[in-house]
Amino acid sequence: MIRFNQISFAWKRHRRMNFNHSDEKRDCPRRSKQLTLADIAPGHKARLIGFCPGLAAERRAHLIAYGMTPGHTIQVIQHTPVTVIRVEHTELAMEIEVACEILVEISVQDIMN
Amino acid sequence: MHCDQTTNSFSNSEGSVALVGHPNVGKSVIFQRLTGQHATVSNYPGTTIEVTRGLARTLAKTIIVDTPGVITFPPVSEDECVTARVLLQEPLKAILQVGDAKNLRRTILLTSQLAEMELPLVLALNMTDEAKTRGVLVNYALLNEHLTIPVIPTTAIRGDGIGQLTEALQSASASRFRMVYPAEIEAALAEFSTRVTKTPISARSLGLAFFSSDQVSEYYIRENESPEVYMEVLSLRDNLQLSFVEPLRNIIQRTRLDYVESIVSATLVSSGSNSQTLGARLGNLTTHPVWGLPVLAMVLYAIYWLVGVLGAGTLVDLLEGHLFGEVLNPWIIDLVNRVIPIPLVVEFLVGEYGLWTMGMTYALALILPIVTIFFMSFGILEDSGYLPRLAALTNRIFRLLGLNGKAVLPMVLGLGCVTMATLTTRILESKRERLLVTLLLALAIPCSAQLGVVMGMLAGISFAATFIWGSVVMLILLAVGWLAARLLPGERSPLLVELPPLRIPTLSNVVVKTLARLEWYAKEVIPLFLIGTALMFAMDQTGILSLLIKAGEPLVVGWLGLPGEASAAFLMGFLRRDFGATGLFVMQAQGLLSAAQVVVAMVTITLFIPCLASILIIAKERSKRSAAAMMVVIFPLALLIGGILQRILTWIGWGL
Repeated sequence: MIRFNQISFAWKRHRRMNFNHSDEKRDCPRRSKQLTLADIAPGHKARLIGFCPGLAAERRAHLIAYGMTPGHTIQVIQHTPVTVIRVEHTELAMEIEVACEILVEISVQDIMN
Repeated sequence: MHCDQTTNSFSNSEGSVALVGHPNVGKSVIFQRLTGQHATVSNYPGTTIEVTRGLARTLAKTIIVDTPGVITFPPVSEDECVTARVLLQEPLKAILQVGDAKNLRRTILLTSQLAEMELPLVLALNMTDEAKTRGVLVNYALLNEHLTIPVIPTTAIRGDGIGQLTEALQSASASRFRMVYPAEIEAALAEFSTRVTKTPISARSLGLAFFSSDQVSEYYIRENESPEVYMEVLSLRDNLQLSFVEPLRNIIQRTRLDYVESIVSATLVSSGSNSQTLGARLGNLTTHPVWGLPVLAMVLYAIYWLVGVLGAGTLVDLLEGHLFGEVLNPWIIDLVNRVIPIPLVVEFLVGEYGLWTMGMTYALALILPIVTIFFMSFGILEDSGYLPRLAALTNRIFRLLGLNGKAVLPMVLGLGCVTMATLTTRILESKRERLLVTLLLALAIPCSAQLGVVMGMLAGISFAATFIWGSVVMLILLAVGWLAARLLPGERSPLLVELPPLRIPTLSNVVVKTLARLEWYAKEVIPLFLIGTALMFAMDQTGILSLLIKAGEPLVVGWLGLPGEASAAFLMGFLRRDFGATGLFVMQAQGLLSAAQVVVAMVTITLFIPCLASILIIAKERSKRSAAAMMVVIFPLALLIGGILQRILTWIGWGL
């Protein structure tokens, strides 16, 4: 749990740096307490639990078609210049606006791995 | 084709086999394997606009249809809609799904949708070599059992599994795999199939697509059924939606996902590890915040060397200077003069604005070698998987311009041929993005032909001259892009792009693609060259040309501070900006221009519309109105910038 907080703090800082200039998305849960893919530090893994209601239907369908289905583990590779993630053997590049519409959770198992 | 006596029903029935699958899974390679090399494989992976057809080599009377890659149904982008239309309108006797063996979950999700169509289906799990090196293990026999269709592991690039694929296609039958949706949806589907009867695919799958708000199937029903039936199924869908809180599309997708999940967990023996292969490490390097840039610089330099030095320099010199200039043209001019006694016709064919001496010489000797090299290097780049990574790397710059990183693809292509690049804007998601990129291409991206002339002239003065030219053009690109993005209504779509693993391109694929593009060039660009030349000839003969040159003089002399002779060059620049640049090149060689005048002239002509061909393509791809609007904006802007630059240079006293 301590480790969890530590990591989470690091991401929050990173996220703030990234978001200073952008205020484009309205439904992004970054003001709420929900954890999103944008919060996961590079090199770490998280489990996908769902998508924000604000995410366009086509984009949601695309993400699912790329293999981003709930319950699966996603590895974050980098956040700059864009977010790059790996799911199964697919690598996806997306803007942070998309990443922060993807809800994730961190299980102890993922941290151990 | 070869075998006349076949007893198999598949071989005897007429019809086509559609290759369907995600982008970048090797559909085109399988297409080439099944049809032979002479087939036209065109366009880019994931950017195919039209389908490609070819006769199968080993299957009688069978046409193989290569379709644009589709991420999922219902389709989103223009090219995905093409694939959806093929499934509804083509007389298909089978579907051959090509999937990525290492991404089983994605592949089976698409299979589940295709299986519902109840057409004979075969699944080729391609790239098994890549799957093997990553430790992915699939139980093919069990997968076969679950899906009740032949599942053939292939490595198409080496030809592995193509034989089995052909055999499987001959005895293919529809999958018996069915998914059961929530009761309300099942009831509505039963209702739907009693109403809509004329369906090329199963009514069930058409209904599911329609309930998922698929535009293509909605259009199909509207066109093929009576208005009453259309209204009935529309209200059926609306009523069905009332039973659910979430959109129908999500409910249907979730049901499928559950089935796919159970199949995958049963058949995927080992999902492998993402152990860092050399390709993966190199891939990460290309999008790395720090190392990405040196990699980009190296790639750009390689292209510059191939296209600029080898293509625009050596090859053009050989072809234009020697073959055409010294051998071919004198011979043809002589021949025409002897055979045709009418001077006007002679002038029309081989005069100053002659169809052969200007039109064909330009098309074949000057532009053809450059675009050939460019198409080849672009083919290599595109097969390597680097371009999507470039989109990730440059995304931040394109954000400023109201675009996303995907726009880098047409921009890079524009350095080869702006006309061609204008067509590539089709890969962009929204109309607004396509229009913005077209504007920037038309305004500030010099094509390879012009780049060669400009570089040659500026390098002759000093590096500072090249630097001033480059900075001014770049600044205008950014400023206009920034402004246009704010003026044009609509939202920017954030980047979402798949980064395929880096691969070594195959020679055969690059060659076939280059040839296909050259065929396009020959069919579409050369006629435009000839029309343009004929127009110049007519204006020259009627005296309009000299009148126009005289009319332009106050602007050229007074505003731009150039000698009067430059007017003619600028008028040529209206037709093709490299025409104009060449005219100025001659003037510089005669010592008529100072360093400052060369820089001003080059900046002005670079900002012109690239060529007549590009205007026609813009009018065709976007609209006549936007083409006209762009011309109205671009020409005055180019002259305005040129004039301002002239005053700045005079003020600081550079190059006078």
